[in-house]
Amino acid sequence: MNMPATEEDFDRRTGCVSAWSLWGSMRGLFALLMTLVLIGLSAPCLLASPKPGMATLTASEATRKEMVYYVWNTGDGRLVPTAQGFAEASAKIEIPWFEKGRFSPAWRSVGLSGFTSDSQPVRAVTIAETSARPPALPVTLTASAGGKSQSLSANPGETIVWDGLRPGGEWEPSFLVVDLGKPQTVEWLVLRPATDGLPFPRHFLIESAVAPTGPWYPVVSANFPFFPDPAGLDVWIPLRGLVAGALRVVVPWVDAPAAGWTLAGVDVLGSGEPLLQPGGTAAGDLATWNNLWLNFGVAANEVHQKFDPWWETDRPLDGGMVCIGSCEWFAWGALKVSWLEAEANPDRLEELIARNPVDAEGFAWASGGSDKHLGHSRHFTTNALYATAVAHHYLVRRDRAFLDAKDPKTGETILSKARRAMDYQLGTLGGRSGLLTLPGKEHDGTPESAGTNYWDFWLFGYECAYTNAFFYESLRVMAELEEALGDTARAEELRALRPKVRAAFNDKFWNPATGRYTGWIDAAGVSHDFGFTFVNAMALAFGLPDEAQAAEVLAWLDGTRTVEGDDSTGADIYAFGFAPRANTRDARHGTPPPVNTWNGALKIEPGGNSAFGKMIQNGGAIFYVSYYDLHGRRRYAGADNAARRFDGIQEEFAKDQLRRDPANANGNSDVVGILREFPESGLVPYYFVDGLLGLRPAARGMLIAPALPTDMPSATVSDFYFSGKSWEITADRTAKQPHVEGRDVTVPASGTWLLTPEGQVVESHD
Amino acid sequence: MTSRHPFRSLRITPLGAVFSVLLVAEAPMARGEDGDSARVAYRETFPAFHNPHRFIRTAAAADGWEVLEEPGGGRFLRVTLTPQADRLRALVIWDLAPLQFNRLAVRMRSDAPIFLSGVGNDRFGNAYFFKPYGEAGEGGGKRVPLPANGQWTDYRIEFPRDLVKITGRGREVSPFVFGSGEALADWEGVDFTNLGIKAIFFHLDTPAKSPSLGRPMHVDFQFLELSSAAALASP
Repeated sequence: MNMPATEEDFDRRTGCVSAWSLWGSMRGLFALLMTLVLIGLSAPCLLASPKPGMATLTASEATRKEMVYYVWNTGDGRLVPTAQGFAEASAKIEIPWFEKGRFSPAWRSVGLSGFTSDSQPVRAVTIAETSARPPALPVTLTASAGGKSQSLSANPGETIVWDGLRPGGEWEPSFLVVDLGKPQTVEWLVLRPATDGLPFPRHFLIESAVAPTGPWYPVVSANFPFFPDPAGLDVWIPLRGLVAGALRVVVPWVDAPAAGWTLAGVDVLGSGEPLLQPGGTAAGDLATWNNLWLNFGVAANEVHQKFDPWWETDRPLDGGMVCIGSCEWFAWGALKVSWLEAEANPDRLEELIARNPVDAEGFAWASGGSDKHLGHSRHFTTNALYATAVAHHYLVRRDRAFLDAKDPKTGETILSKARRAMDYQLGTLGGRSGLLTLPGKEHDGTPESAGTNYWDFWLFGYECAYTNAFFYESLRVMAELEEALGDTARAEELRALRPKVRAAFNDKFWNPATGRYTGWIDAAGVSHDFGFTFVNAMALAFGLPDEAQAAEVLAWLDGTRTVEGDDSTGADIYAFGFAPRANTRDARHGTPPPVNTWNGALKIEPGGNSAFGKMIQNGGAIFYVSYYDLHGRRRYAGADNAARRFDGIQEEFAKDQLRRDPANANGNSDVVGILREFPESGLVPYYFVDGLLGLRPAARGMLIAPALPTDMPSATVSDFYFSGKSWEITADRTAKQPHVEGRDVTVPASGTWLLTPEGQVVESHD
Repeated sequence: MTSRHPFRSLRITPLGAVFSVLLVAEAPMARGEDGDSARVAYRETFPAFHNPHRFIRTAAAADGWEVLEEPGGGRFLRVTLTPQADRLRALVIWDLAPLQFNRLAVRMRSDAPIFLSGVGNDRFGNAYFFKPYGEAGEGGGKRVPLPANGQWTDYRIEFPRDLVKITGRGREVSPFVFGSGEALADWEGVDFTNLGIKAIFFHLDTPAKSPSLGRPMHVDFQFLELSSAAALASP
């Protein structure tokens, strides 16, 4: 929580108290959400064992209140530092060993103020199998300080011949640029201390770039103030698959005006295949796709203040995270982690799914501790999202034990809960009629209601387009699951309902006056159309409109068609670059505005903390919407149209890797939703997998339906875990026939193909 | 999700103490008012490789901010504010990775008289209220406005000497409730060698009858330096 100080902190004349109430409330609500998640988790998470040759080490400096990082002496001649985090949290790090033996690791903690603990030995590690040591890449080095630079000779493993760097002043930054020649996958940056001359840098951080000319981006996990004297040991900085053409050691300050620093050598270890390989594209594209995934997908090089990527981190270190343990995020979490071979994140999701209640009526709770999101209101998307997550996860991993895993409180299997979650939609919510209708006064979409989905500023409810769109998608995925399990009758029942749902959706929510879908129709029959881009993008992604409707929506989004009464038109709709504004019509136009102001804390008038364009849900933007935007464009306007939209995202990513959460004039940094409690940002790079390559799980296997833009001759994902095996899957314009060799699958870039669980590829007519 | 290791909670070994002393001796030194040395933990001078949007926010009477270059070199943060009779206070918020410090120094200039004070928030919901500029020593112990003479002026705070109030200690502050608790008269339980300050709020208060009301004005920050007095630096 980022708290206001106290009320004494504010002069009442500033009128600022409620703004900070909002800020505190939103952060507080997130903490509450996580608490409710935890209530449902009565046992520690069952994390997977590390791979052979790896060991998980754990440190905790429980005494400090400031942030710390840890420096592990691995016992084999290396020092491996961690990212920063809260001292009282348990800091786990997985470290590979490259030789067999028994090693005695020990850690030291370093506080950001310079506090450094003594060495803390931990239990010895026995390494029976080794990891493969990544090869060292050829590099060229350039040192610079005070506007002067010096090129250095540095073959891998050799000692640099130089005198080190002496910045002109105590606070003058100095740099060592490591040029890799081209973007490559980097696992480690190894800094070798000199045995004489100047010392090892006392304070340093690592940045990366596509090329040594920059722009430079911080590797936020690699920021080491007050680094202890390495005493001759090599410092191994994990970079975990970062794709970079250059790295930079930044020494922001030295200990005294005449002080300097030096290194005996620098090794960059890596060169493995990038995870995502867009063929024939510029070097920057390769870095963009992979680092988008690295930052927002697996959040590998982020600061996690609880040393856990499933928890948020506060400003100024907020970044990507993997998922949130609430049902609202399960389907997105499944898209993000089900295809990952490393089991820690899939296992974590499975555990949360197992523990999330689906109550006696069949309602899927928001989290283990509450049926209501944040204890505030029921979100009726949770049933669709629970069922979708279960079906998707199983269809990717094909692990029957997952479906049979039992809720530790009720003993009910995950499969049973997913089926009942679907039944609740079909029955209680009226889905068999083709349209879900949300029950109860609290959810009726009127000004007195409480909101019913993720976009909880808006009072979505009653007949809700957002909820019905997820319902439509859940029917598709659950039908595939039922067919995969042999219940073809149930599969057909669900499939047969989809045209009915689609027709009802278009009949109910299409607004011919605006040429787009409205958000919801409340119990009084009032339609609420505020130009919800996220609703329309989802509708297109799921295939709900016909071609003419989709063209109208895209013309509105692209600004070639203006909707009368909108506040954002033309190019302004994509003013944020990385995603469209959430809505194009200011909430103030409602009579009354159909929004939840949280007892007046949110002020939507001009100058208010939630004025149009100043808050994520009212004219601001949330990054994940681009995932659906790209898919909608792919489906209705083609791969090139989607690629042009991705170009806009890439342009923004190139500025700062989207590490941004700017504040509005009221000090609220809720203008855009990219970092912190937005792990769904990682869906955007996942478009490479299920958009460009078109990988989508189905009953009979993994569908591969590539949609490559014209200038992309091929696309490859080098590790896609499906049915118990990791595959390298390529769509190639030059391929005439599908081809499987070992784990490598190649398909033509057109058509739809099916990779069966048995490892065969056949043409699909799905 | 997080586990504690109580057996390590009181771990202060002689070797660690020696190392800490060595660290202090090695670290860059800042000077307190009384001339003793301190270990600098944070010094923001707005270099080009930092993105200030990650840690600077403004609110209330502040219109916004930007980082500018001095004609003779160097960079500084410029806050533009337009105080109004019913809105005299501007806020500049500095977000920090939770950090231990007990000395704060900020170098500022203003083109109109303005009162200056501040609050440090720790990550446990406690607020540490600073003496206003002047009372903290610069103005002979009286609250005075920052001089509007175009010159850089330092504002220095040392904990606990220059604190006027601490609130909220020991309580998790509800996000829905302001006024987290009464000021704590007993500060003896506060360990000023072990804080986790996560934000600093600078209060820029325009005098009620100032001719600056209704006009845009600038307050510049050349740097913010946070340090620990040597005697308090480490356990």
